[in-house]
Amino acid sequence: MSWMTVDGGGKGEFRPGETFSGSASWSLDAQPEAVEVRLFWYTEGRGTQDVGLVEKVRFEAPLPSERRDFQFVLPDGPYSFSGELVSVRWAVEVVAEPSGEAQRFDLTLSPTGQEILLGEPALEGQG
Amino acid sequence: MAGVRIPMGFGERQGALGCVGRIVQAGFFSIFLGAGLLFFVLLLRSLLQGEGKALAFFLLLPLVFIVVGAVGIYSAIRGPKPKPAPGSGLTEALSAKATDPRKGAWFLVLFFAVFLAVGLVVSYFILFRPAVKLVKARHWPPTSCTILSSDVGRHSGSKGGSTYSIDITFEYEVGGRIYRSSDYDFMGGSSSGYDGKADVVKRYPPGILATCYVNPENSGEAVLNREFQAEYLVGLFPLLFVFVGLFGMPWAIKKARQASHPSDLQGASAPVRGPAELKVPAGPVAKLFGAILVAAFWNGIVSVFVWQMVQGWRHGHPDACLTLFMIPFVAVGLGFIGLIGYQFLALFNPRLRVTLSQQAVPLGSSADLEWRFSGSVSRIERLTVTLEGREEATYRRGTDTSTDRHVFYRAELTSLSAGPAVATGRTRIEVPGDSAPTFEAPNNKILWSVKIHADIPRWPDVLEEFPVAVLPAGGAP
Repeated sequence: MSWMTVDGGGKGEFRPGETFSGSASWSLDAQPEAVEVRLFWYTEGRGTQDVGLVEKVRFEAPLPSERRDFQFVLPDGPYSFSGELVSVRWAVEVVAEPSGEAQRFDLTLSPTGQEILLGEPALEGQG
Repeated sequence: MAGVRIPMGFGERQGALGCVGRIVQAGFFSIFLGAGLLFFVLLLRSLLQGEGKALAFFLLLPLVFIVVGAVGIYSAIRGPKPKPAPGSGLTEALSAKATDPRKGAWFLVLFFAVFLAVGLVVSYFILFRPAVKLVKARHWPPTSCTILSSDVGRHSGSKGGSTYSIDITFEYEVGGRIYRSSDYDFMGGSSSGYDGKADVVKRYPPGILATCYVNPENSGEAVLNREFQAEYLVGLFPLLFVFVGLFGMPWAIKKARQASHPSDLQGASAPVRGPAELKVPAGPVAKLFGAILVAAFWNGIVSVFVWQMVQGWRHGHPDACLTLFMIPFVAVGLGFIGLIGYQFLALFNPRLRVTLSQQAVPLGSSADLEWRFSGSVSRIERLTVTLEGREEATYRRGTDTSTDRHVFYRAELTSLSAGPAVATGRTRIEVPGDSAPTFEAPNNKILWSVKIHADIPRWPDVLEEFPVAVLPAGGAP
């Protein structure tokens, strides 16, 4: 049975510019040509899903069972947020190629490290 | 007997059936591509030979077949994405769905380039070349000629209909040498409509002497008619392709360049300090033009059926079912005509200019907003300025694409009654720090805007929305 994991060192909340240091481990039934670790954001909600690949680390010709360390510097955005129609989430995914088997590690990215919640408008006066 | 489990690699699970399916798919789309190419070449050849100039309109159809066919074949060759083994606990790679927006944008550039190229080529043959000759022929000397043969040519069309041509051959002498020509005018070719061509043929029976016009630079070229005719206007059709290409290409190139900067997802990629004049996506003239286009398109189609319906009533065999069916379509058409009137009246509204003290506003900070009306400002009874943040989600349902919107932030910046302060004023925008910055992905968006509503009694209101780029907290400026 194949398995893959991403270990983020127990941390899942990040601020822009912080470094995500982690390790990817896998044990695959078939020899992969490569294993990639990808940092990306994706949307959830009512709209058709958008996915944006931000950065990736590629390990060529790895062993079927192995553990590799990697790190990403997190960008300014987009922030992790959740609204009535749209949510943006961040993840680091380890992907075996060419099979496409993958395992995902979700994280949040915002100035507070917490997901921003977009609420209902209460008409405010600024003037 | 105990079963033998044969280990199967993930890639092998695609199986032979998948391979056959891809071959069938490739074959199916090859038919699309082949039919599109064949249709396109035949149409182009007919056009270049001067047959049925109105065919220029239909050049788009084979282009659609060609694109669908090419995309289908590419998809078949690429094959389906592999799936993880069931029960392995692993998932499909979500990150594999990431698309490169630049590819789509450059495909658009190519699409509009094809429009432009097709439009230019066809325009050259059925507009520019005849037009240049028409102008030059004003100075061609009149020459006596003898009509040798005269007839209306009939040409069977591919759809079963016929087109007709003026087939007149005449003979003339220049410098002691005899020449023959079969060019009645500079359009040539065939088109629908028999009667007009028959009238021309009647005027030039075989054997009579007529006047033709000979090119002094090439005595072998002569025409009987060098006057402008309405038929030449058909040559304007391919200009539609040229305009679509001309306006579409810069727009697509701009999209491609924007897509090259992923940071554009969150407002301006390179925010510039200093004031910025905020622009509305469409001004009053553009809105009027848009309303005219929509009304013309809708009512143009509906009018075909309305005409059929009216003919039925006039000739005593009304189609009640068609009449009932058409009522909502006609009502919508009338609504579009009403929209033209509304947008026309709005042209005379006071014009609005809005400037912001900086190009983009970071979360948790503020900027000064200034507005200035010109024109008949005294008609404004009330002015409201609002800052709004909203989500937009675009999705497909069946064949329709819908966009849902939800406002998550709204703050009234100013509310003024009629008076001098309405004409020009200033207010302060404060973007909350605990919200989300501008986010513009293809299908999901967070948009911020300033909405200005000037209430004008018994007249279309001024209701404009000015997009504002909101940056992440701490972003420049």
